[in-house]
Amino acid sequence: MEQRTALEKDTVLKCRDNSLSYTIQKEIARGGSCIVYDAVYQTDFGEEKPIRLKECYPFELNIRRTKTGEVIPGGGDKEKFEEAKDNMRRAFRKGNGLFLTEGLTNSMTNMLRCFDQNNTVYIPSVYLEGGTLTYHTFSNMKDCIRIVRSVSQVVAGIHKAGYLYLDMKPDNVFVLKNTAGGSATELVQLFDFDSLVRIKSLKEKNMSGCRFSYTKGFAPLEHQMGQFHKFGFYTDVYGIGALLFYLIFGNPPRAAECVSDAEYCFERSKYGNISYQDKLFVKLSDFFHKTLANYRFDRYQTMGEVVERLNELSGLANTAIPYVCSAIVPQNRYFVGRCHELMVLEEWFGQGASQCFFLTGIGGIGKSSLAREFVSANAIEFDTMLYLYYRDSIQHLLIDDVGLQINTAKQEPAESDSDYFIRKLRILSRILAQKKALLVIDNFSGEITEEFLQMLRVGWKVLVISRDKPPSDNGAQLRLEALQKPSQLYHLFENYSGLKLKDDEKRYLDHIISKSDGHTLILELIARQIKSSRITIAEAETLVEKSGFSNMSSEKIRFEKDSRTGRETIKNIIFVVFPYHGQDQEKKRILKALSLFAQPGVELDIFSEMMELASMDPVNELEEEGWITCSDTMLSMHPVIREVVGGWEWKDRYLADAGHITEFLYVRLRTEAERAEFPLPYLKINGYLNSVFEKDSKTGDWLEKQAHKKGMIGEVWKKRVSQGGAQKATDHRKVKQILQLAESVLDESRKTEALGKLDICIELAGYVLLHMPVDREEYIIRHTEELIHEPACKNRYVITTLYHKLISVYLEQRALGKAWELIEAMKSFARDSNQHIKAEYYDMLADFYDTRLDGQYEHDNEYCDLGKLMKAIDRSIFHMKLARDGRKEILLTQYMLNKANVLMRSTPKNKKGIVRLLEQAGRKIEKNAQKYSGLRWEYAMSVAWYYTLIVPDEIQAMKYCSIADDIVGKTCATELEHIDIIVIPYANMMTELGNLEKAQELLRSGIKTCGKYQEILPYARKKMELYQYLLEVCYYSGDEDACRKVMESMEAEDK
Amino acid sequence: MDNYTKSMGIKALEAANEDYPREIILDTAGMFRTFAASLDEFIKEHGYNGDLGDINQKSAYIRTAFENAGISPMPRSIKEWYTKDKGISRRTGFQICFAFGLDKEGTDDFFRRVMLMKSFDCHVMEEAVYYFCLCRGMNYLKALEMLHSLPDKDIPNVMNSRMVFDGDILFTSTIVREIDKFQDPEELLDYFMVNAEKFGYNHAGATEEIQKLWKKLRGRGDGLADLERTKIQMLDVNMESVRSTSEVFRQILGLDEVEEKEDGRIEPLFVIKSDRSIKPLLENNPLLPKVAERQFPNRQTIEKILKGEHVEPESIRKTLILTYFYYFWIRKAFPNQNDRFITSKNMMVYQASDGDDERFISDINKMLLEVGYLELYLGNPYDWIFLYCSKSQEPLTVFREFIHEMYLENEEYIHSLNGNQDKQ
Repeated sequence: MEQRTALEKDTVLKCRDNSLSYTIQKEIARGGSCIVYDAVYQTDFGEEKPIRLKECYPFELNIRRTKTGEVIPGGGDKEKFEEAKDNMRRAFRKGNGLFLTEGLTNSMTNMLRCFDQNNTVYIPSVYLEGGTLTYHTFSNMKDCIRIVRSVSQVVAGIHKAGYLYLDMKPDNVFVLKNTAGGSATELVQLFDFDSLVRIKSLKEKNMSGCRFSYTKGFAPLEHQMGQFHKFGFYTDVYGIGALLFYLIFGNPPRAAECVSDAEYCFERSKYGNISYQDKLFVKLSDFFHKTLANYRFDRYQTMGEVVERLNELSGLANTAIPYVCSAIVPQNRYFVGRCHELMVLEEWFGQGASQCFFLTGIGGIGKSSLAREFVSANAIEFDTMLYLYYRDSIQHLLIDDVGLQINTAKQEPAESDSDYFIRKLRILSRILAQKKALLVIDNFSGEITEEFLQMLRVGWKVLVISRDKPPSDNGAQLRLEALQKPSQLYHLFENYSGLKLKDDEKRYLDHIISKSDGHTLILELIARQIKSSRITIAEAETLVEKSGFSNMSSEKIRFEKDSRTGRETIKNIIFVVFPYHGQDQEKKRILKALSLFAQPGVELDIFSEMMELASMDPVNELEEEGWITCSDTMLSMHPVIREVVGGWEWKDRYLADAGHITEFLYVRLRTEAERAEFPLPYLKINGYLNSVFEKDSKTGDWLEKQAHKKGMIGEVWKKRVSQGGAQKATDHRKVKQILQLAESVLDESRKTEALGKLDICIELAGYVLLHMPVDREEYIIRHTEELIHEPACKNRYVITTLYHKLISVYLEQRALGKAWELIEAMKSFARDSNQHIKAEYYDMLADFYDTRLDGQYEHDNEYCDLGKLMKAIDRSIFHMKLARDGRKEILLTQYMLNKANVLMRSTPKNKKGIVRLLEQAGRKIEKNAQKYSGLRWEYAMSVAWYYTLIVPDEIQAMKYCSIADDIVGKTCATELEHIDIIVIPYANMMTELGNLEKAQELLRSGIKTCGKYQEILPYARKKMELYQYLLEVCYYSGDEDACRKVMESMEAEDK
Repeated sequence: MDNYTKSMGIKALEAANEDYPREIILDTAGMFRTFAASLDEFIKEHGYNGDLGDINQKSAYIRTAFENAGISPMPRSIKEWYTKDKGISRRTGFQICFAFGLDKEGTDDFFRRVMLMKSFDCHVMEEAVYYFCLCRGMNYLKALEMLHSLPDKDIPNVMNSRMVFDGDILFTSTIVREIDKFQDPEELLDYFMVNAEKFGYNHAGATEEIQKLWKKLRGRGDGLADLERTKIQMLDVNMESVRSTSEVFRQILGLDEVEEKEDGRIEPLFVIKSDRSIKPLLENNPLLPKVAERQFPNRQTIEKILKGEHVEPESIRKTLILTYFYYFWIRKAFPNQNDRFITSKNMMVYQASDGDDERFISDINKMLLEVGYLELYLGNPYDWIFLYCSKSQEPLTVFREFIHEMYLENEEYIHSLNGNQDKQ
C-alpha cells in the first residue's frame, strides 16, 4: 500500500543559495521513484509563477517523513536511498544535456535546477499545461498515431544524441494542451530520464553492476532479461510499438501479441466501431509485427523507419480525407491450380495497357473464385479494391452507397440517380487519382454502354466477370476453361470430399471428370455428395453414369457459392447456378433440342436442318450468352448446362422437336447406312423418279403426297429418291456421325419417359443397333437384348435382323451357349413369320454350325455340324427364293455364296456344283448389286477361294483378293471388318497355296492394325487370333525361330 | 555469459551442425552440472574461499550462513547434498536464498542455475511470503512469522483443482502486481484472507497458453498436427473425430512412424506397450540426464493440463516448451492460410530460415517470462535439447531423431517390458 506522505500545502522549499524559494501548492502525481507537485515561486516583481517540482521519494523503500518535512529512510534502505538520489541527479544532468541538443529542446522537460533539501533531492521544471498520456487522452485513431509519431521523433532525437531511452510508457509522455483546450499531438515532452543510457557504454560493455528496471509490457525481451549487450535502437522501437498498442487496446502487449504471426482484433479496440480504411488495419498489423517482435532483428532497426510508417498510418487513419472503403473479400476455402490465369491477371493489373479485363466462362467454372484468389493474393498491391455484384445497370451498381462506400459522400434525398452517378464518379476520380485501384464487377451481362465508359474514366482498373462473351473484341480478356491437369482435379476433389484418392479409384474419378468435362462446381458438388452420403467414388461413378450428376442423390449437401452458403440437393444447386431467365421461346426450344446431343455436339447445318431454323440469330445470341458453344461448324453445350436444360420439363413443343429430330436421324441412317447395298434396280428407278421431281412438279407433288401417307417409310423413300441413281459407296464417316447423334438422342430418351414412348425412338434404336460397328460389342449386346424384348418394337424385320446381329456378336465372342439360346428364341418367332424371316433364321443357324465347325470342313465333327450346316444353308436358300421383298435377290446371292464357300472346303471335288453356284451368284450380283456393294467383295473372295482350293492358281487368287480388298477399302466401316473379310482369308489362301511368306506378311499387318486399338476388346481378341494363325504359318514353314518369337509376343500380349 | 553456459552453448552448436550427433549428446549429457557442482559455483560466488573438494568445509560454510540468518531448524542433510548428489526441496532452496541474503533477482538466478526450476510461485502462499520478504530484504524470521499466520485451512486442495478459463481466474501475475504494492506484511496477510479460495490452483497462465496451443494443433481436419500428417507426411487422418492426446503426442515426438513388414502388414516402428507412456524410453537413458527425465512431458500430464487439473510446476514448463517448439516449427510449414488447402508439401518445409533459431528462442522466452517461468537456460539439460535442435537446419526433424536415438538406446529394455506386458 502506498505509504508515502507528500509535502503539505504551503510548505516552502529553499535552494541552497537562497536564490529562489518554492511554495508547494498541491501534489499532482506519484511515480515509482518520486512525487510531483505543483508549486509557485515569486518573480522579481513579486508575482507568483507556477512551477513543477519533483521530489525524490522511492515507493519501494521504507522511508518516513518527519513533521519538518524531512524524509528519513529505514536502516536497511539508506544505501538504496542514496543511490536513488544519485540516479535523480544523473538523470537531471542527462536530461539537461538532451535539452540543450538541437531539435530536442522543445521535447524535453526544462529542468531548471537540482537541489537538496529535506534529506532528498528536488528538481523544479518549467510549468506547462497538459497531462501525462493515458488511454483516454485521445478519442480517435489518428490522434493516437500522431502522438506516438511525435514521441518517436523525440526518441529519434535522443538516439541521434547517442542515447537509448529505455523507459517508454504512457506515464513518461507529457501531452501539452493546445489553444482549443484539447491535447496537442504534434508536441510532446518526455520526462524521467533515469533509464537513459549511452550507446557507447553499452558497446564498451561498461555496464557491470548495472540494473535496468523496466515497466512490464513496455519492455522488450532483451530488456526484461537484462541482456544489455543486445540493446540497440530497436529496444526503444519496441517501446513505441507497445505505446501505440496500449493507446488502441488499453493494455500493453502480451507475449502472444509479439509473435511474428500475431493477429490483432481491432474490432474489439476502442476504435472498432468507427469506419476506417481496411488498409489501415493491415498496415497497423504490419507495424505491430515489426515493432513488437520478440526477435530484435525483426523489428524496425531505426526510429526513422518507425516515423515513416507512422506518417503513413496517420494518413490512413484520417477520416476527414475522402476515401473509398475497400471491400472485404472472403478467401477461397480451397483453390487449386490456375497459376497461368493468375499470372495473366497480375500482369494485366501491373503492366497491362488495357483498363478493362473480361473474365468469361460458363457458370460454376471458377471465375469468381479466380477473381477472389487474385484479389487476396495481391491485396497488398491495391490501394483500394471493390468487389461488386452486377444487377441492372452500371449506374445502379455505382450509386449504391452500401456497396460502394465513400466516407464523405452520400446520395442526397433530392438528388436524382443520374446526378448522383455523375457526382460520385467525379469524387471517385479525385480520390483514386494516382492510386492503384481495382473494381471487380461480378456477374456482368449486357453491352458496353455510355455508363460503362463513364465508369472506366474514373481511372481504375476494372475486372469484369461474365458468362457472356465479351461485348467487344478490344481489350484484355480470358475465357476460363476447365482445369486440365488431372493432379489439380484430383486435389480439388480430395479437398472437398475429405478423402485421399487411392490409385485404383482414379479411373472412376477420371470417368466422372470426363462426364462433367472437368467442371469445377460439379466436381465439388459430387465430392461433397460423396462425403455427405458416405459412398465410395466407384459408387458415385455408377450413380453419375446411371442417373446423371444432378440426380445422383436426393440428399442435401452443404455448398458455398459467391460467399453464400446453404444446403441443397445437387439438382437444385445446379438449377440455381444456371437459371434461364429469358422469355424467348425460340431460344429455349433450341436449347432443349441441343440438350439431346452429348459432346462433341452436332454440326450446325445438320442441326439447322433438323430444327428447320428460319434464322441463326437465336443460336448466335445463345452463344454470346454463354449457353452454347460454337466452334468451327460444331454446336455444343457444356455437359453441366446440358444436364440442366435436360432437366427442364418436356413440353409438347419440345417433344415435337425431339420427335422431328429422331425422324430426321432415322431417315438419314436408313438412307446413308444402306446406300451401297440398296438394290440396283430400285436405285435406277429412284434415279428416274428424281428427274421426275425436278422436271414435273405436278407428278412430283402427287408422289410426295403418296409418300407422306406412308409415314416414315415414305420419308425414307423420298430421301432415297433425292439421292438419285448414282452408285456411291456408303460414307462411313457420315454414318458414324449419324450413329453418334442417334446414340446420344436415344440415351436421353431412355432417361425420359415422355421421350422414350415415341415410336420413332424404337425404330431409330433398332437401326442404330443394326448399323453399330462390330467393335461396339457391349453396346450392341446391352441394347439389343433390351430392344428385342421391348413390346413396342413391332417391326419383325428389324427384330430378326437384331437377333442375327446379336447372334453374330456372341459367335464372335465364342459364347455359343448364349448364341444357341437366341437361335432357339428365334425359332419360334420364325415359325410364325414370312419366308424372308424363315430364311434369315436358317442363315443364323448356318452361322452357328459354321462357328462350331471352326473351319474343319474336311470331315464332320462329333455334332455332325457339317451336315447341319449344309442343310441350314439349303433351307435359307429355299425360303429366300419364296420371299417377296425388295432385298430378296441380294440375300439369296449371299446364301449362294455361303454354300459355294462351304462346298469348296468340304467337297472340293464337286467342282461343277461350285462353279454353277458362283456363276449364278455372279449374274445376280451384276443385276442387283451396286458397284460398292458388299456382295461384290464377297463374291470376289469366293472366287479367290475357288482359285485356291479347287483350281489352285496363286495369281488368280491374288487378283480376286485385290479386287475384294479394293472394294472393302472403300466400303468397310472399321479395320476390324477389313481384317475379318480380307486379311485372314487372304492369309489363309496364301498358306494353302504355299506362299507362306505372303501369309505371314498379311497376318503381321493385321496384328499391327489391331495394335492401334489396344483398348478395344474385339481388337485385342482379334490380335490373339492373328498371332495364333501366324504361329501356325511359321510352324508350317519350319521356322522355329519365328515360332519362338511369335510365342513370346503372344505371352507378352497375354500379360 | 559464464564459461559453463558458454561451453554448453558451443556443444549445442556442435550437435546442431552434426548429422549424427549421438556422441556429442552423450558427451554433453555428462557435462551438465549436477546439483552439487552448481551449488559449489554458487557458494564460490557468495564468498566461499575454501577447498571445493572438501565437503565438510563446504557444508560447514553453508551451515554457518543458515545460522547467521537465524534459519531454524537447519536442514539435516547438507552433507548429503554432496555425497548423494540429491536435490533439495523448494523450501530449502528458498532458505538458502535467505541464508545468503539474496534479493529477487538473486533468487531467480539461484533457482534457474542451481535448482533448475521455476523461481517464486506466488500462487502458493508460502512462496508469495518468500517473494514479499526477499524483495524487501526482510529476513527469514519475519517470513516464518508470516507463514504461521497463513489461512491454510481456507485454501482448497490444489490436487482437486480444475481451472476453467471462462470463469473468474486469478493469474499469478496479478498476485505479483498486488504484492509489489504492499509495504506491510499485514497487507499481504489480509490479501491472502480475502482471496484464499483462489490459491487452490496455480500455473493458470501457463495452463491457458498450453490449452490454446493444443487447440491449434488438434483442430479436426485443419489442426496443425492433422495438416502435417496429411499434407507433409501424406498419410490419412480420420476426419470423423478429434485425434487423441496420445496420438498427437506421439506424432510430435516422431514416435508414430510405421514400417511395412515382409508380408505387407503395416506395423508401428516404435512400440512401447506400457499404458501408452513413454517412460521406458526415458528411464536411465544415457542421452538424457535425470534432471531432464524428471517431469518429462507425457500423455497423462498433458491430458491433465488440458482439463485444467493440477500438475507439478516443472511438468507445466516442460510441456509448454515442447508444445511451443512443435507449434513454432510446424506453423512455419504453413505460413499462409491458403497453404493449408492446396497441394501437399515436400520435406523442405521443415527447414529453418536465417534467424529462425533466435526467433524461436525469443518467442518461447517471452512466453515463459510472461507466465512466470524463467527463460531457457543452456545449463538445463531439458532446455538444452530444444536449444540445440533450434540451431539445426531442420529443428523438428532433428528433435525427432533425438527421440529415436533415445529409443534405440533403451530398445532392449523396452522390448523386455513389451514382452512382459504381452505375457500378462
